[in-house]
Amino acid sequence: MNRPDVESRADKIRLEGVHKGFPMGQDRKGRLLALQNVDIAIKQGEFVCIVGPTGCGKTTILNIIAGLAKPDRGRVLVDGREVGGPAPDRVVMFQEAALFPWLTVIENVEFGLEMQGVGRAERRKRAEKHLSLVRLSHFRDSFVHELSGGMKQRVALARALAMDPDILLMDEPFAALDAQTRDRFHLELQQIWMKTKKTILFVTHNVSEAVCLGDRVLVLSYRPGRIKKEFTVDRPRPREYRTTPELACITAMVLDELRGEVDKAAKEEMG
Amino acid sequence: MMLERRGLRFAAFCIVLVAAWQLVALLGIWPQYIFPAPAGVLSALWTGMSDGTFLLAALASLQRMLIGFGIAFALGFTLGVAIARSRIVGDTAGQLVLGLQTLPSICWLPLAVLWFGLNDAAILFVVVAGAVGSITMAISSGIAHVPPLFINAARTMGASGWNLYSKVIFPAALPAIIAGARQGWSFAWRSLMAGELLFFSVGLGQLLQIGRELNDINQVAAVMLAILAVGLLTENLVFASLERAVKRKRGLEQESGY
Repeated sequence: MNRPDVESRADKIRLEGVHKGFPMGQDRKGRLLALQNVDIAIKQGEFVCIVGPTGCGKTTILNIIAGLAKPDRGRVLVDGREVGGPAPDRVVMFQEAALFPWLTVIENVEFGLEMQGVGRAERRKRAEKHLSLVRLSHFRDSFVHELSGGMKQRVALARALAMDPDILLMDEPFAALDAQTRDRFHLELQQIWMKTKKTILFVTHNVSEAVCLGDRVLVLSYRPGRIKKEFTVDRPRPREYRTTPELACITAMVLDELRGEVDKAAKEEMG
Repeated sequence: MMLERRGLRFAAFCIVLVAAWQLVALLGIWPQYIFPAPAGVLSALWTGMSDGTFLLAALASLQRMLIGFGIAFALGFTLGVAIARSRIVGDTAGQLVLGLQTLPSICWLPLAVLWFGLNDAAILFVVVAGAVGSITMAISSGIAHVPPLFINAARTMGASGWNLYSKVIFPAALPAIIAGARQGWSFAWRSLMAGELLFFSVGLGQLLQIGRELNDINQVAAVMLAILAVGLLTENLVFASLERAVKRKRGLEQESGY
């Protein structure tokens, strides 16, 4: 790797030997090993993507870092301190926008700030700023059900960024969007990342998305989930998939690595 | 527009019903004191309205309702939250509430009379006993069905403890809470009427009883109509419009043109 500026930085997120299982079967006594001995180190300001077949434990990794799930074994460190639960320095963006339907758009963006105890005037100001960042200012007083899927995710992004977290954890946030909307999001997210220098961990099953967005792409194996291989994507940003031919090349390599895992997943699901 | 058409349809249905009623009464199959004619009932209704007895009785009944329902809602809400929060409470108190719901509320009356005597407190007790179970169950299931996604999202944004409840769980469960309150209200109303029937008090139930004692079938039918009207009005004016407002805000209203 030739990224000396990144390498010299301290680890922002560290997973050390993380194991996680879930109860399985009718009596819930069996144990499905979702993650086995997962080691991940992410530097401050890095944009890292995790790819893997459905059900490989990508979301579990994210939930563990978010503090929503506890590892059975191993340690999770953020800024060198062990994670003991959710905290506003790590905000999650979910596949479904998870906006609250009883609040207006701007009230949704204000929610995290309100939980931090930010005063009314200040949080309104910050919410307005971030709504304009995702270009939804004119929808500030709309209700959630009046928005399209893409707009909902833009509000969710504004809500996350308004809290100014160090870490953004993204769980397939664009999976339900159409291809054009997704391409626009990829560009916007990179621009926002270049401006804010947040540490982003982005989970997806879409390999070209991962290659387009990540500084690094980690390939997760299927049951038990383990980091199988790592690819570095060293291309200038903001990248666009269709205008950067090298990305297709890297995508092919990642897909090659992934193929066996996807086959395994398919076989298991079909019995 | 849809609503107006449905209202008109219902009004037409009522007119046809009253006409059929009048027709049967005119046939004279049963004597008037068994099968009253609409005219007699309407005039009893008019008398009751104009001399204020119905209004007074309705107000007395509604006052009991507000107190009894208020207590039942507060109890049911607390218990419902406790059941949703704690598995132990759910397996114990929750099961008890579920079991007690099979007991018709009027069966509480003898106990209430022994405890409180023949007074308002006994009636209130029956009202609370009749409503608290359904409110508890509705609220506990409403809270248990709040999407985990909302709770997780809120927790990653720093919501916890009371904030998580007041800002996320209760608002998310609001439609279920209103539905539970609505059901509780109608149970409370039934229990109240049963309670008022059985011993002396001012109230609509008591008017019904007086009508029977006087062998005045017109009054009995008129008071029944009044009870129906008060029940329907309170439910539709308060709870149905509350429900509609919440649904509209959240885009849950089905606006089909068919």
